[in-house]
Amino acid sequence: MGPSPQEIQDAIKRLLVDDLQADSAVIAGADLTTGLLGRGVGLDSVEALRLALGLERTFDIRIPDADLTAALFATLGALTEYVHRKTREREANP
Amino acid sequence: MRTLPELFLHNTAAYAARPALVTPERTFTYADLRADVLALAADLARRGVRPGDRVGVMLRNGPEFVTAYWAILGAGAVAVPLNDEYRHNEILYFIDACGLSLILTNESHREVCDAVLPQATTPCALSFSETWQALPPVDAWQPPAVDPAAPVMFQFSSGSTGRPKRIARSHAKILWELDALADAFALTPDDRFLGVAPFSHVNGLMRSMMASFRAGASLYPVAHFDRQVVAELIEHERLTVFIGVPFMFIVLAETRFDPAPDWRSLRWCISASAPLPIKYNRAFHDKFGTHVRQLYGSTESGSMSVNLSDDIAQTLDSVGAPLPGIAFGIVDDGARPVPADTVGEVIVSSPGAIEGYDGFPELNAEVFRDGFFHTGDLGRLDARGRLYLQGRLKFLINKSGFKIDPREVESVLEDHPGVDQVAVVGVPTPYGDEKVKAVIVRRGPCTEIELAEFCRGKIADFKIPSVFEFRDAMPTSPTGKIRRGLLTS
Repeated sequence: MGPSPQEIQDAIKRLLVDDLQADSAVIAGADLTTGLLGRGVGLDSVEALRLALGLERTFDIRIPDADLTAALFATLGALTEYVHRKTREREANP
Repeated sequence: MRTLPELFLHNTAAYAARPALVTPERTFTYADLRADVLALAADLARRGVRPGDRVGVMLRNGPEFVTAYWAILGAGAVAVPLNDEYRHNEILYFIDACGLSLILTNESHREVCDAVLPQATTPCALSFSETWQALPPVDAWQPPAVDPAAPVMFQFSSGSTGRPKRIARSHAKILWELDALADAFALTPDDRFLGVAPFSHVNGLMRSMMASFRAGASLYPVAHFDRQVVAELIEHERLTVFIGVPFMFIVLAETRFDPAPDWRSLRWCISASAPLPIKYNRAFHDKFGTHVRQLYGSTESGSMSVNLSDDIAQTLDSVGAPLPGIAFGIVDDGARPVPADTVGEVIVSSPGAIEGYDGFPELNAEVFRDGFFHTGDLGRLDARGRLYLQGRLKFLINKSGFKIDPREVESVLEDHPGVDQVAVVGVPTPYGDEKVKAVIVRRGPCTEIELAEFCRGKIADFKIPSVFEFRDAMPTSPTGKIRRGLLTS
């Protein structure tokens, strides 16, 4: 049984605050529609890659850099859904 | 060789049949590169570019950047590499600060350039790389008659006085640095360079693109850092030299490859532009079987030292001894030398260093003294003359190797009607670099999102603060100066 979307969302928020030192007040108020780039959390491309590294480590998944597009980080919900899919793939193909 | 066009002429003849540039789509021999460069240089002349004119190049790493850079030099002009993440304010500033008559770029930058050009005081045109394939070939070519001491490239240094300071490097100084790098790394035409550090920045330009050309070696340009692309390229092409920045080595050290790529071909992994934390260097070694060597350089001085020690495992935090011909000193507040293993400001004397910034006589008197450049970096020398960097005197933010002048960001935020006072500082990250934080005293309503959006488009995205803190007042010293050290937590 892999992590639930809520668990993934919480983990992303923790990584944003702990690893990327994002503004904890902004992250606490973030929901699935909150943008992670630009208007929103304000990650740049370097920080987005660092977040991906943290997600790989946390969930034991592989994220190809080719997937690290603006669309993936468009919202917290989009990234949560992607990681959820990756964790389910890992469960199906251990 | 006395000038860079002479080096170009020599090496493209001497290594004509060897691969100069290799991309997934095509291998360019030195003869191919020469043909493309001369065709574009002739086009620049037709467009009115004359020796001494200033021409910008705003492109990502790739054959187009290499062709554009050498074509500018081939026309006898001064090359001005521009970060392709620059936005409106920066492009406008560089056009007028350099008197750019032309920018070589591509269609992806047309919109931002078209918006900027009418606002520039200097008349500036654009040339798009998409049109260069159709240029007519050139048969005979003579290198332009240029003075080896004349500027061949303008770069900019962020620093302590607000706007970026222009640095003019001459043919002679760049050739000196390239010779020093070739000797230090024992480069040969059989070397194969990973070209992933941005060519628009001194690290990727000098130590990767130009060092590869100087050696008659092969350059594998990569437009975007991509872990899988880099891993496969090094393994499949048996690359020998990896010039990068700490961020790249850290990410690669932390990535779990399955299986781990075989990187035994790498002779040198060189990191510059920011400190590489020891724990990540060790992790990199554990994974790939080689340590990363730290190089110390600056835009003003070029490459100054690199840790090529045999006992690298014991000296991972050192940037090594100075390259032959270069002298380091460590001085106290009164510019007096300090004993070995004592921390002070690093000063450097180098044949590759400039003698001053263009148009900053007062600052030059302060930082270029008695043949030494006062770097603003803090460090100590051990008994064997190896340098260990310990931080900075100057208030610069180091974001993944890109130096950001806090005052540049502050000047943008100060224009927001809701901002009364602003101080921008660097906050250390676990990766050894810093993130940009703005501390704001409001005079009217404004939010962090509004302020970030206010910056967007005016300055490059990597300069926009990712953390905003609102305070009722700034902490100040008794003399009224903002105590920035209290703002970084």
